[in-house]
Amino acid sequence: MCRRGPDGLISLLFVKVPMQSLPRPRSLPARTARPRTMLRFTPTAWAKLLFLRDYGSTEVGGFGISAAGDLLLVTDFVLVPQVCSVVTVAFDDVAVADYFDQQLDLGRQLEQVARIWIHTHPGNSAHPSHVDEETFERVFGRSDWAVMVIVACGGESYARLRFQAGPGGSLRLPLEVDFQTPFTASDQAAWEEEYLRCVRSQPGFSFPEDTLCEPRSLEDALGFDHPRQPRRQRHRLPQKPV
Amino acid sequence: MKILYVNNDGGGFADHIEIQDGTSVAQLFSQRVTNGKPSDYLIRVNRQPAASDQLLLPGDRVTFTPVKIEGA
Repeated sequence: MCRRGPDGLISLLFVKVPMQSLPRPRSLPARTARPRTMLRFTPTAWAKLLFLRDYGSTEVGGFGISAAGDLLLVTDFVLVPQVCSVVTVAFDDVAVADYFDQQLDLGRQLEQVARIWIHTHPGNSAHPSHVDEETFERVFGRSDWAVMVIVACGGESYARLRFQAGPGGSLRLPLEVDFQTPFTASDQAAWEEEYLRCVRSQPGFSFPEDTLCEPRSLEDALGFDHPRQPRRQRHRLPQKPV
Repeated sequence: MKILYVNNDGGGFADHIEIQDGTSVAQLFSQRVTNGKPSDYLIRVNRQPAASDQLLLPGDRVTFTPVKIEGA
């Protein structure tokens, strides 16, 4: 506020005003809760993955099939013919090409069927090996995005998204079984048939049975406490600490 | 002429494309894959392995799929 004094000079007066009437120095957008990016599995897809992980004594691998409108929702886990040992898994190159052709013939997009690479690990560690990292870089590094998922026999899981947009980058993804999505019943006979059709053990490469970890039960892996808690709709899976 | 071209690089591609008559598999690879070696792919035409000098025909289905997908 300005006032002219008796000497003709103008002086400034400072007036106290209540804080509420002061405008904010700048308007900040309201902070909204942003859903965290995570990789979700339908219960059926997760159950199939665990069934195939635990069916034999070797690692297994395959591709996650994404929902058409939700690429980070895995609705199925599909094996391709492969040669495996207790600590390795190698897809057959021709089988991978056949898999691409079959999925395209089913009317799916490549981004639905070829971006989520899943395999299992023996023991308790789901941490990617140097072979895993090399494959993830060489095979999936040219795609716009891809996810590497590892599920260990002991129950630990690991998922990492890499993307090419902008400067590119990667981030760890939490894994979750989403019970809120529609899902089908399990079909263990078909899963067993798929395993027997696709997985070949590498001869002469095995560990004594007593050195392998005991697979967790499906209930344990899905996170149900004992007694089961059927009202729980979502459960975060055990993650490897970052 | 048109062929069906399938390659998972970038955004993923499975569509009909127009190419010049007399284009070979090797020429298509060099046109379409800028940062990659042929040895990193299984290259098939109509679901059969293809030689690099094989000439493409109208309606062919050409797939470049990754090889040596290995975990440990």
